[in-house]
Order: sequence, then C-alpha cells, then structure tokens
Amino acid sequence: MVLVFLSVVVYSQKNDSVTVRLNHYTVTVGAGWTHYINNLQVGGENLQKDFAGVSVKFFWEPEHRLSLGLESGYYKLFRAKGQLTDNTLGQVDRSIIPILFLIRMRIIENMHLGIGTGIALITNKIAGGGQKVVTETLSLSNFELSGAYIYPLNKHLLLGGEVKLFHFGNTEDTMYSIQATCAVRL
Amino acid sequence: MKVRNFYVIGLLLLIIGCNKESLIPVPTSGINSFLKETRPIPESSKPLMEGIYLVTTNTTIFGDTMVVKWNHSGILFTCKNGKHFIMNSGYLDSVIFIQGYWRDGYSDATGLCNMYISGSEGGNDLLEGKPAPHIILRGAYGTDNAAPNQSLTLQYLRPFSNKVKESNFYILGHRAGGRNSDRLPVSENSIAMVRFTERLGTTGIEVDPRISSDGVAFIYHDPDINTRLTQKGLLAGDVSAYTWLQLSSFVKLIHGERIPSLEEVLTFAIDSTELRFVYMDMKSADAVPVVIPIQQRAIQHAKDKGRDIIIMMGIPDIDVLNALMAYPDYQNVPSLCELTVDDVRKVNAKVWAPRWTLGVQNDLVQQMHNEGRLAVCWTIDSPNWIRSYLDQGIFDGLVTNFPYVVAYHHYIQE
Amino acid sequence: MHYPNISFGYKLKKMAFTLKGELAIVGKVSTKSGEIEVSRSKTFLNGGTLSFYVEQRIHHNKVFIIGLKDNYVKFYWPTWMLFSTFNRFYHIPELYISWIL
Repeated sequence: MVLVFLSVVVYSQKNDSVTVRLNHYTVTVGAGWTHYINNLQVGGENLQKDFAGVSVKFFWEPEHRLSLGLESGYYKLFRAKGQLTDNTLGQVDRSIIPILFLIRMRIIENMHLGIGTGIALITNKIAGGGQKVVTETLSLSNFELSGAYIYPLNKHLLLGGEVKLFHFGNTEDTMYSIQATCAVRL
Repeated sequence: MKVRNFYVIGLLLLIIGCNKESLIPVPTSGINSFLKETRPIPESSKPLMEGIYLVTTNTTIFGDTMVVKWNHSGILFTCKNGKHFIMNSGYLDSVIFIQGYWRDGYSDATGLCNMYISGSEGGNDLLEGKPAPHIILRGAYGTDNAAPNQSLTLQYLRPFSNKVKESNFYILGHRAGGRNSDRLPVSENSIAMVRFTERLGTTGIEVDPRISSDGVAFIYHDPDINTRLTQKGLLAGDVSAYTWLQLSSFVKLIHGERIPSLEEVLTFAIDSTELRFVYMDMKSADAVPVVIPIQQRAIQHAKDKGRDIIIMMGIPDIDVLNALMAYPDYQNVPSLCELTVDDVRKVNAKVWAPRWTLGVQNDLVQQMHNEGRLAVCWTIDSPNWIRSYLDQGIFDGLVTNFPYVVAYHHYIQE
Repeated sequence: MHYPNISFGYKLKKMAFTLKGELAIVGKVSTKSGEIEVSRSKTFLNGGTLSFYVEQRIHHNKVFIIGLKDNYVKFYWPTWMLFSTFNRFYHIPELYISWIL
C-alpha cells in the first residue's frame, strides 16, 4: 500500500508572517476517540475498534517554525472474541503505549503538521478456557502523522484539536485518533 | 506590491509494507490437465528415466544440462542456475506425459510446462522397464499461467554416476524445505511443507521445535508471533507464552496452515514421505526434556515401519547442550551438535553441524568420519558456494533453502 | 559501491528544498569462507534511491534538515548484502534527520 501525502500552501502577504518568537516549552495533554483500521486476516470479524485514548506531549518551541518534542499516550487498539473450542470463547485485547520523537512545523498561524517516529510497547491480553496470557512486545519501527490546530487563550494556556495517524511496525497495526488538547506554555 | 510567498510543505511519500513478500501464484493447468487421462508410471520405469539431460533448446534460460530425478511425490528437473521444474507424470499407450510448472528460485519467474516422451524416442523401452539408449523429452514452457509456447527439448546424456548412486548424501531442506521469503506455495515449518519438500529435491529436513506454555512441542522458527510467519491475527508477542489451544485456535501460518506439533511432523515424515533425516534445531533449552520422549517414540515408530530415517536433536548453543547433558543417559540420545568437535565428543553426538561460513574444514570433518560420525553444514544458498563445497568438501549433507540447486550439483557429479 | 547522483535544490527565504536521485552500482563482490574464495567481478546495478529534504532554521541560526528517502535496491548497505539469495528489488524507506550545529 502506498500513501502519498502532498500538501501545498500558497500564502500571499506583504511581510513574512513569522515574527521571531521567544524560545519556550509546552506540555500538552490530549484525550479523544481512537479507531483501529482493521487489517486482521484471522479473527477480524466482530472486532471492537473504537475506544478512548489519551496522549501527553512535551515540546521545545524555539523561535522559528519548527518544534521538537516527545509524545506518549495510551491507546486501546481492539477487543475481539474468538472460539477456542466448540463451547469456549476467548477474549483478546491489544493496547499500545507509544514513545515517539516528534517534529512539528507551524504552517500558518495556529496550524501545525507533525511527523514522529519512535518505539511502542504493545500489550496483548488473551483470556479464556481457564487461561490468561499477557504478552508485551517492543516495536521499534513506528511512525505518526499529525495535524493540529492550537489556539492560544493567553500567554500560557492553549486549547486545540488534533488528528493523528499511527502505524506500528511490529504488528502492522494502524489507527487514527481525534483528540481535544490542552497545552500549558512554560 | 504584495509579496507572494509560496510554501511547499513537502511531498511525503509513505511506503507502507512495500517489502511484504507477495505470494507468487503457482501456475496450474487446472481442468486442462491432460494427466488425468493417463496411468501412473510403473515404479520400474522411474529410475531408468533419471539422469543427466542435455538441454538442446533455450539454453540461455535453463543452462546446458539438467538433472532429472524422481521423488516420492513426482519428478524434479533441476538446472545449475536455480531454475527447476516441479512435475507430475503419467502414460497413455506408449507415450509418457510430464506436466507441471517451472520456477526460478532466485526471482519471481515461473510458468507452466508440458513435456512428453514418444514411444519411439524412449517411451516404449521405459514403459517395458528396459534401459532406453535414446530418450528425448519434447515439449514447451510458458510464462505464468499462459499456455506453454517456448520450445524445450531435453536429450538423455547419461545416468547418475556410481559415485552418486552409492553416496548417502543428505540434501536437507531448511525449515522443512525453504523460507517464506523463498515464495514457495506452502509455509515454512508446516505439515504442508513436509509434504511438498521432496518435490524440491530434499532427502531430509531441518525443523525448529519450541514448546508452548503448557508444554506441547511444536515447530515454529521465530520467538514471537509476527507477520513474517503468520497471517495477521489476534495474537502477538512471545509465541511460547501461549497455550497450545490458543496457538491452534488463533494462529494461521502465511498460507493458512495451522502450526503443527512436533509429534505430528515426525509422524507425517515417517508415514507419508521417504525423507531420511530430520534435524530438530532446538529453539530453547526448556524444550529438551519435552522433545526427547517424542524423539524416542518417533524412532521406535520408524523402526517398527522399517523406515530408514535418522531423527537428531540439534544442539545450537551451550544452553541446549547443558540441558541435554542434564538428561540421564544423554549419550544415547541421538543428537547433532553445531558447536565444536570437542562438544560433539562430550555429548556423543552422531552428527557435527558447523556453520558453512567457517569453511569446508576437511581435517575436522575427516576426524568425525574416523569416529563414525556424520558432518553436515548449514545454511548454504549461493550456487557458487554450493558447487565449491560439493567439489572441495567432504560433508555428508548440506542444509539449504535451495535444495534443487544442491540436487543439481550433487547428482551431476561424475 | 558507487553512488552517482544528481540533486536539484530550491531556496526560499526561510526554507530550502533538495530533491536527490542516486544510482547504487556495485563494482566487485569478493567473499571468503575458510580457505575458499568466491568473487564476482561483473559490475551490476544494485538499484537507485530518491530522496527529498527540507532545511530550515530551528534555533538561532542552527539549521535542521528532515528528509525522506526511498531506497529501491536489491541489497541495502546497512544490512548484510554479500550473501544474496534473491534477484529482487525492495523498497526500503529511510527517515533522515540532521541538525547542523
């Protein structure tokens, strides 16, 4: 599968809109809806794919357009029930804690696009037939694409919304999340 | 004057899963197969068809010579460069028909192939069980599922040499025949692969036993459930953390098969194939006490059936070595040791199996022979290296992902 | 290995872009195992790459570069290329991050 993402912004103005800003840091928390893109080849029927997810980000915002940061969060990917034997059901849950390095760029005032890569801890739980098994896998090849609108209420508090797409390489899982965010600028 | 600033954010080309090994469909004649109207080739005719053939058309594709060898499931034509033909055969009147497909083990090229031996060009003699001085296979091959339209003619040159006929050389299929990345039509480490492997020219297999959390031995190469080996499913993480019931219920290998238990694999190899060597490459020391009784039952079953097959517990590292040596009477457990020759002697292994990159090591291999032990090396895939090792080495077998290449270079020896 | 390449760049007031294409050509491969050496001397095309980089200032006058590269090659240099068993090309993406101090 190939995704091509092309974004072109044509901006007409008298002066460069980027006024030099002071160097600062922000901590952002977000919460919202996550949706798992079901590409399971086995056991993908009757999958529960929609859950709530939370995120936390720490950004360094120097004086130009780019910001660098770290993001983590907790997302449940899916829940499924499957037949272990003729009369025994098993239930499987998968959740993820990503830890990603983010590069974010302010495109126009208050609008940002970001790309991130890093590690993710994938937890798989299966219960059924008198057995419960929890496995944890470290995924090294993961990435995130995000778009955010962040509006400053005052010098220190910002509110906004964010859309992001994740792909976790180890299990080839893809999900997206739409979150409301609140940031504190230090 | 307004300044127009034009920002191009960027072209982000995200290539997701481009390296996923796509499956190569196996070409098939399907309902057009003419073999269903034919009778099976008599067993006495088969060895008479085997030998070295000259390729008289399309030598740039298939080389100058081909080895033709019967196996438990059909007939294999194999070339020097990794191209090979997986064929079935039958006869009608005095004509021998051979049909199947060819593929290139090193790329994605494949296609159908139809051949025949007419009565006057060897068919009559072969079907009467008499050596035929002149055998000519005529036919054609094609590309993918298209009808064969490129001429192919093979002319019998000679039988296998006495050196080859008298040798007990083992062609060991890695992961039972080949890896998933070799794009075979069946999954590695599966019953389907054990059923298919002899068609590739193998005479033995290497498999990868592990144990589940409830102590059932199964074969599976990687330590975790991943999309290289399995269809994407509900389970992830350490494969040995799951029970056998969970693995059987929720995991399918790439081509849809179930993960097989070790007992199933050994029983199938003994009952349904003519394989002569099983190399169990132990993936964890914990599996040793579980696998030994399974190995012993399989050896007894083979003996009861009169099967000529050796089943070896592979020792790939010091942990497995120590686990085996902790077993009472370990010196009588048939084993294959990948470590040093001193470790081989310590555990009284029947086979020494060094990594091929250490060289032919003829002096050490000769020592093993002098002590009544065998020596095989792993895992050797490049045609140049395979030829070098067969020419310059004295191993009793090679583990390979390309058994048809080893088969070519072995059977063509004079 | 040889990497003939061609690059095109465009500079704006605050950003610079580079589009670069490379060919990966292998001149000679020589491998040895124990006493046996096998060499391949025929030059062959390993593949090619296409990459796109964006440069801009991040802090004071320090420049930050982010780029994406697609390697369409048979053998990828960071991984073991010498014992090839496949005559196939693979797409291998690279994310490039650079900070010029």
